[in-house]
Amino acid sequence: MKRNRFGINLDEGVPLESEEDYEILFVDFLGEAASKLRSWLESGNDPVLLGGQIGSGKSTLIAKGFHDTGRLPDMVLHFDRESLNLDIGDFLGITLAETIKAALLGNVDLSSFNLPAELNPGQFGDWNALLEGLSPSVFTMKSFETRKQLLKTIAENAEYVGKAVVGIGKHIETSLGHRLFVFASGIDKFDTTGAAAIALNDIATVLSPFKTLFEVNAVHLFSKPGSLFHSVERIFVPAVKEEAVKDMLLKRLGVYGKPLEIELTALAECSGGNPRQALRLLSHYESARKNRERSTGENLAVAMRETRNDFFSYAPKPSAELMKMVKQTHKIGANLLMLPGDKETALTALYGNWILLDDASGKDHWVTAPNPLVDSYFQDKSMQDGPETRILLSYAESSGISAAGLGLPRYDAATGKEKMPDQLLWEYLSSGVEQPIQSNLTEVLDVLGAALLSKDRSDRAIIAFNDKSITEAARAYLFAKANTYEYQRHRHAVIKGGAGEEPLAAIEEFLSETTDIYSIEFDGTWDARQLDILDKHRDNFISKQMLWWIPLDKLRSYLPHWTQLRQLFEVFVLEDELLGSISPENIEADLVFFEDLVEHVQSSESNVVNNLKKVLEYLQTARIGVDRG
Amino acid sequence: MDKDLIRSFLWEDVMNLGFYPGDLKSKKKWLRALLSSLREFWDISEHQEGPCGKEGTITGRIDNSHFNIWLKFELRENGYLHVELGHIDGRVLFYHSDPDYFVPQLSKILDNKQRNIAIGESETTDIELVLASCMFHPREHLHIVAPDFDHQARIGGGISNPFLYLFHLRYQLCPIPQKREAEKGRLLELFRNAIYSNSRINAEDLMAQP
Repeated sequence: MKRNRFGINLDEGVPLESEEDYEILFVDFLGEAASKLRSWLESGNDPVLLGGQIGSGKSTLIAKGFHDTGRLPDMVLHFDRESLNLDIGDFLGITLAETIKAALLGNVDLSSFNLPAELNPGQFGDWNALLEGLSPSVFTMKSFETRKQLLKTIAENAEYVGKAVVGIGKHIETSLGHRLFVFASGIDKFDTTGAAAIALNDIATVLSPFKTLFEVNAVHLFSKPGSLFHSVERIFVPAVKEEAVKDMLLKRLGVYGKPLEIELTALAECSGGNPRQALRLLSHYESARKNRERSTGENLAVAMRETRNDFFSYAPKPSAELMKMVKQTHKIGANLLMLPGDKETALTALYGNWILLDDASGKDHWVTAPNPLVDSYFQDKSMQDGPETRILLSYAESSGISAAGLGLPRYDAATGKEKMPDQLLWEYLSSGVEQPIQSNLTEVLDVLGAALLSKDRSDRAIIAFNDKSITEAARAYLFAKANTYEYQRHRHAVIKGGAGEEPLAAIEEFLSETTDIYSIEFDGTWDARQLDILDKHRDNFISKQMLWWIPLDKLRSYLPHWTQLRQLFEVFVLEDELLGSISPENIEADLVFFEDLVEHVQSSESNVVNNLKKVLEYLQTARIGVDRG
Repeated sequence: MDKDLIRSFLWEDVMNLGFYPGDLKSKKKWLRALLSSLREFWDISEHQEGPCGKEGTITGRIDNSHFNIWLKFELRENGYLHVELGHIDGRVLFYHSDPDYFVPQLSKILDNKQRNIAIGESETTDIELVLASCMFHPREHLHIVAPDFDHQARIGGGISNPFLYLFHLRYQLCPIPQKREAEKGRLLELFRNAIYSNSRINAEDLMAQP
C-alpha cells in the first residue's frame, strides 16, 4: 500500500506489514503481548493462541513479530478466505492444500500417501493435480465445481484426511530439520457457536502436534474445559491505553496532527482503546470537517455517530443488564463467558465489541468496560452521565467554549424555535444506534471522495437504498466523480442470493476480474448461510475498492450476520431522490468542462463524460416528471 | 550585463515558459493538473472539487487541514482571478487579480534581442533568486500563523499572473519541510533547462512531485 511519508494515512482494516509501514505508522502499544509473541516465535515449540477483540491490532502484532524475529511460518493457512460451507471439509481442504504445497516445495517424499488417488481416483493422478483441485489457480465454473466436490469428499473422510495431513506434516518436519511452524490465520473471524466452531476444534486437533500460531478472537480464549483450545498457551491482546491511541492517531495525521491534539484526545477516549475503532473515528472526523456549517464539537459528535452506525447498527445486542453490570463493576466473570449460546450473553458482547477487554489474566474475572460508543444506548435517557457527552463536554471545556457553544443545529426545523443545548446533544448522541441516517449523494461523495475513490486506497462502502430506480444514476455519478480525480476503471455486477443460488462463487469470479472499482448489487434474498460465509471472507476484500448496493429492507436483516465484514465497510443510506443533492446545471457545467478534454476512449475524461451523460439524462427525466407532477 | 537586467529577462522567461497556458483547453488542462497534484504534494487524504465550469469560467476547490482552511478559486475568461482562503471558523480571505487595472509589462520594456546575451551571462544563483521572488518568498507577502509552521507560509501580495499565483499557493500551503525543500530543487532544475532551451514547460512536468 502506498503511504504518505509525512502526511495523512487513513486506510482501515489493513495491517501494517512493510518496513515503510512500521517506520511511518507503528506505535509500540502492545509491549507485553509483543514480547511474549517474540519469545514464542524464537523458542516456542507448542501451539499458542494469540487472541484479541476485533480491531485490537492482532494482525499487525503478528506481522511485526515475524518481521522483528525473522521467523516466518513454513505454512500459512487462511481460514477466512477460501471457505465455502464453513464445515470441516473447508477447513481440512485449506489445511491439506497448504500442506501439499509445503511438501512439494521442499521436495518431500510423499510416496507413502495415496491421497490423490483416494480422494478422486478418476481425476487426480498426482499431487500437483490434487493441489490444483483444492486451490485452483484460475477461477472457472469447472474448477469451482471440482473444488466443491473435493471438499465434500474430504468432509466425508475427515478423520482419515486429518491423520494424513499430520503424517505429511511430520515428513515435512523431518525434511526441514525443525518443528513445522504453522500460522493458522483468520480463526478470529469465527465465533464460538455453530458448525464452524466444531469444525475449528477438529482442525485445532490436526494442527496441535506442530508449532502452530492460532490467530483467534478474544472469545476463543474463554473456551470451555474439554475444548482443545482450553489447554493451549495463550497471548492476550488487550485494549490499548488512550495515550498510545492518541500517538497512533497523531502518526496517522503526520504533519497535520499537531493542530488537532485536543480533538485527537477526545477521539482516543471514545475509541475505548480499540485501534481500528480509533481509526474509523478519525476517518469520519476528517470527513465531517468538510462540512463548513458545523463546529468542531459537532464534528466530533458526527464522527462518533457515524462510527457507531458502521459498527453497531442492526447488530445483535447483549442485554442491558449485562452492560450495566459491566459499567458498574468494570469486570466480567469467567462464568458468564462460558455460558452456552444465548444471544444476549457476555460472548455476544465480547465478540461484537460492545465491551472492551483490558486484562484477561485473572482467574475468575477479567477487567473490562463498555465500549464508549454504545454505552449511552444502554443508559437511561439522562444526558449527564454518558461517556460521549462527557467527552464532548470535556472537549468544550479544554477548548474554552461553553457546552452550548458546541454548535449543534440550534433550530427545530418544524417549529423554528431554538432548542435547548441538552436536547441538541441528546439528538446527536441518541440517534444512529438503531439505524443509519440517510445521506444525499453529495454527502456520500464527501466521505467516499476522501476514502474510497482513489487508486491509492482500497476502502469499501455499503450503500443502502429504498428506491432502486435511482441507483444507476447514483452509480454513474460516483464513477464520474472518481474519474475526475484519476483514471479508474469500474465494473458492476448484480449477484443474486437465496435458495439454489451460488452468490459466493459469483463474487469470487467477479473479483477475479481486473478493475479498479468493484460495484456489486445484492439481488434476491440471501440466506443466513450465504451471509455468514461472506462475513468470514472479510480479508478477501481488504485490497479492493468496493461499492455494495443493498436494498435497505434487506440490509436490516443482513447486517446482524456481518460482525466482521462491517469492520471494513462504511454504511450509507441513500436518500430517495437525487434532484435535491445534484442539479442538472452542475452536471452540465462538469460536462462542458470535460467534453473538449477527451482525447481517447480509455481515459478519465472519457469516463467522466460518459457517466455524466447518464446522470444528466436521469435528472432531466426526473425533472420532467416533477414538473408534470 | 547588469545583474538586475539579467534577472528581469529570467523573470520574463519564467512567466512565459511556465505560466501562460494559452487557449481555454490548455488552461483547463493546466488547472486540472494543478488541482490533481495537490493531494499528493500536500500528503493529504482530501480530494479536490473540480476544476469545472462553463462559459470560460473555471472553478476548483481543495481543503488543507493543516491550516484548517479551504482554497477555492475562480478564473474568468478575461483573466480575472478570485481566490478564497477560508478558515473553518468562518473567516475568509479573498484575493483578486483584476485585469482591468494596469501593471507594468516587462515584455514591453525589455529588448528581446538581448535575451540570449542575458541568459548566457546568467548564473544558477540568478535563477534561484528569480524563482524565490516569484513563488518561494515573494517580496510582498502575508503570513499564515499555524502551530509548528510559524513564519513559513508566505502568501504573495503582488502577483498579477493568476497561474503563478495559484502555483505559488501549492508551495506555500505545503506544511512539509522536506517536500518544500525538494520542490525548490526540482523547480530550479526544471526552469533552468527550460530557460536554456527556451522551451515551454507542460503542465504535467510543472506539477510533477518532487
